[in-house]
Amino acid sequence: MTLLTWNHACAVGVRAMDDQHGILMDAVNELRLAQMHGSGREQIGELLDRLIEFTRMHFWSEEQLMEQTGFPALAEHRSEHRSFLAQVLQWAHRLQYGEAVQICPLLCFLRDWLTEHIEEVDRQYGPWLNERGIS
Amino acid sequence: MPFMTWTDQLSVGVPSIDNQHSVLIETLNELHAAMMKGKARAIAGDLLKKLVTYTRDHFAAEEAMMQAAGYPGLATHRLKHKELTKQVEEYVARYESGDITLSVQLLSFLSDWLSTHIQGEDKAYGPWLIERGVR
Repeated sequence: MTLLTWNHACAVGVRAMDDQHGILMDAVNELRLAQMHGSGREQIGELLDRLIEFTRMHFWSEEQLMEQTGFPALAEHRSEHRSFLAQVLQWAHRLQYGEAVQICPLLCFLRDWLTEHIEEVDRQYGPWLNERGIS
Repeated sequence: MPFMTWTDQLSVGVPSIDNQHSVLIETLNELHAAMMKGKARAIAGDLLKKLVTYTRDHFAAEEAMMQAAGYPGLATHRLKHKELTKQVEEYVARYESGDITLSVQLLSFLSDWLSTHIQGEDKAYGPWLIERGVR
């Protein structure tokens, strides 16, 4: 599995969001490194918790911007955010309660979902926000 | 007419940081005004030193806030601060040794850098700090 790298192909055109996307990718990379180095369940759990915390804040930031500017597809976008969080929280829950959790599938899920979401869904709000003075 | 103007777009949502950013912009404007009036090198030199010192202090304050709040993007943010500090210090050293004169180019570079950095990396940490009660 390749690490996630921010590059201009993933730019959505709103600098603060691009920056937060970079931090999210770093968080996934950290998780992967921990797994490669054979880190224990507790440390993996902590990293996953931090990822979830930051993701929640990032989603909130995006939704705020979309709400403030009356972005038409906000409801669908929010729904995607909620679905993602629900799935990641399930992984975190299983990890916390001692279930056998394979980290590789989780990493693949995070990588694939984030990449697709940023490139297909987040990109949509860029021009809308730019037109309303948010860059 | 001021060289750089504060707008709501530059607010990161943390009043103490917004204040510091305002002071930075004000100092940039003072320096620009001094240059435009052909003020003596000594005055411009002093203002340049004031700008550099204030920027350093501001970066330190921001980093301390991010650290206290456990902000995940701190390391990358710190690197950006370091990069700019190095560039400005090099410039000031050359200016003080009489190698170059103060120019609008430096001021444009600084105002562009500030504007991009505030609207990007600084706005990115806003929600994280606000959630943790930082004012």
